[in-house]
Amino acid sequence: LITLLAAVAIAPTVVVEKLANGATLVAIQIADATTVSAQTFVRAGSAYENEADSGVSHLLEHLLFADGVADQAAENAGLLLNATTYREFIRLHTVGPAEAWKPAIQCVAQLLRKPALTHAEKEWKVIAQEDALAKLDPDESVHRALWVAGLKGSAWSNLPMGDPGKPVPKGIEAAYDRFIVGANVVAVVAGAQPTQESLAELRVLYGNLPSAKASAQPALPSLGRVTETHSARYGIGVPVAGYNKPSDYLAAEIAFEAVTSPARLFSQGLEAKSFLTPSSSGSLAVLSFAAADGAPGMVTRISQAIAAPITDAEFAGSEARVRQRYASSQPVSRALVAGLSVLFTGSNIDFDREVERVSKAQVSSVAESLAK
Amino acid sequence: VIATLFALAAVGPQLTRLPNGIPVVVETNASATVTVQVLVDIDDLTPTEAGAAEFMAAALFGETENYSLRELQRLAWSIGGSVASESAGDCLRLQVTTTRDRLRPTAAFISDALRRPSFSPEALADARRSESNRHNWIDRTPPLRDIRTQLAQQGHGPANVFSLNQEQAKALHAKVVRPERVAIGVVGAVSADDVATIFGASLGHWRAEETPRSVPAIQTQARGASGIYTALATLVGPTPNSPYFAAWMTACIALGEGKLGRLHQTFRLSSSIYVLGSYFTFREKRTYCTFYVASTVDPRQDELNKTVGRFEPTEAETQRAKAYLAGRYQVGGPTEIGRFGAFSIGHETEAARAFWLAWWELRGAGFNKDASFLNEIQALSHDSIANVIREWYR
Repeated sequence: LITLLAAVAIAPTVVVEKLANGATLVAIQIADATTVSAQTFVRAGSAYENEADSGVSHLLEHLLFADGVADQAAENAGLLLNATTYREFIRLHTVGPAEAWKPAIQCVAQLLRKPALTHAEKEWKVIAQEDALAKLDPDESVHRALWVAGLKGSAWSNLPMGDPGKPVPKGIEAAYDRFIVGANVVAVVAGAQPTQESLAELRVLYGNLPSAKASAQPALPSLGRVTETHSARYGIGVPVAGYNKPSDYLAAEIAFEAVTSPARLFSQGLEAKSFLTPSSSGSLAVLSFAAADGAPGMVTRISQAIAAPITDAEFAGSEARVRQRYASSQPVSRALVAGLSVLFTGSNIDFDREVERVSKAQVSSVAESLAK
Repeated sequence: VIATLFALAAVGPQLTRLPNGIPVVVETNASATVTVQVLVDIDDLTPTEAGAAEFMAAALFGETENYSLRELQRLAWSIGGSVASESAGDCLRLQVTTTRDRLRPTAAFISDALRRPSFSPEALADARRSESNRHNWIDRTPPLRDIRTQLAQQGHGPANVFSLNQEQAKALHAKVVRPERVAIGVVGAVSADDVATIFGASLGHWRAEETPRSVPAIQTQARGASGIYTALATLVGPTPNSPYFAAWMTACIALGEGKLGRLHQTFRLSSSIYVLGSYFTFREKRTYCTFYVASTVDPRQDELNKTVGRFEPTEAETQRAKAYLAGRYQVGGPTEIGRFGAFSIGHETEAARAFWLAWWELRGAGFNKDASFLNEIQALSHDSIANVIREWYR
């Protein structure tokens, strides 16, 4: 009863609204939230790039901050403002105290106002440092290598970071004009603020974005199963469903929880890190394994850790963990999941309900595919 | 039950003490879970002992006299929430999230882990694996490796300890894991009275040995430089229970954190340097703030020394720092590098709130400081921050 009442008490309300210019607004009200998160997703990223302009989305993301105006507004309100570029989107996001919801919405929207895109050379040097430091992480290297191997020959194999060893990507102005249009934008706010007030604020800020067709995304090629090794890290990449098939996507998430449970890893002396980045129509899920004792017999040990059939107890425990993840009342998680749902599928997916539909057979099927 | 929980939630956190003096701070709410944070003070240990305590933390949830390692794992799984035992910088942190009806076995589990770890070969081997993974993570987070090395050399932070034998672990445990070093925070659907009864039964009569045995010599391992250029400058400050603490923290934030911070303005904008910031270390008698600037291209030590040594914030900078610190206190972040210390945790989750209630109590400021700290930051004047800089930065 307590669980039920608590769940009802914190169940957030989600309202999705589409503007005339194509921009989509999402207002999530979470009673008792002590923080606010504003996140804006822009259809851009390395899957939209070709060899000539590889890295331009990431560079654009950096340059949106170049005039410092948005950072100033954010930090003076106690907000942390940041951004990340992926294959299918740029995510601009802020988080801070709940009462700062208006500055939160405003500072993220401020980033989309065209700044002077004049510091490309300097920011490309910053990206080179970002890249050099990322390469020090063996898990990240395995992840990168798997994506490149699994998607060879397609724009999807471009790295979101870009290649800072190459010259500054051309066409930054054109990229801004192409990506920053209403139809490419999903703006989300999650916190304790009243829904109608936050929607009114969002309408004003996003209603002026240019109307144009959404960027055409290259189709995701068929993904292969791949393996890579790097610095004693063993990586497995397995194709899984995207948000277009939420139940299958969740089955993969649950399967990953189960096969990397502490009991399984401990029995083989392994450490594992999983990368399950949501995607629109399909994704390459990555598991990276390492062993503290080096890597004797790694393939056998990994096989033994993941090959055992998933038990009822493992299924129940893993399903509970994934359920908790989606039932989180934290604005950051709520805004992220809702934003990606709308970006990828056009509507807000009710993951709380979708988790209940996932069967053990679905989860076992993903785990078996991993074991192969 | 619901009405009672809502009524207790309105009262705010309550402090009770177990018969042996362990403070237990309970914040009652009507959520579905209960989170327990047990903190063990390690802010007075030598670098070698502190490094060994990190290792020991990884072994505390290993085998005990009453549970085998497998049983502990199954119990942890059945609890359904997260179970963690790790160093949080100035303290060891044991965290268990559970449900109200499982609080009693959880308390027994925690009590066993705290009081009766067996440090069996299997448990120590597991801790070795876990610590090796953690050190690998530190190694690939470049400034952190260099920061730890320098702090250990200065005597303010843990040295790297990759192995303990049973004798060493037991001796260190007897010295460190003692009731007088423990504070407990609990947040969730449970009353302070119930917590006092349950934990009183499992931990209330715990008495540590009169005189801890001496700890046999422990081997530390120096790590090489991270392979990038890391400039470091460490400043000394007051402890968290000092009236000057909030002002000193704000001054450090004005210099070291955020894109409007002086470090970012100096190094990112002029030199395209990407990784920079500040790292706090809380010790028994002093707090230390280590500013870092990491470059893959060239060293920046002189420039960092000048920037830190000559720092005089403007009024706009101190105002920004106050807002920034208040925001981080509520939300946490901003960087992974701060993971090992308080002030990177925020207050969003029950686990985080339980941590803070116990932390302020442990640091001698009283759990009520958690509620008043934000007001204290807001009330700071520019002059009070400037005075603290004059007092502590020169």
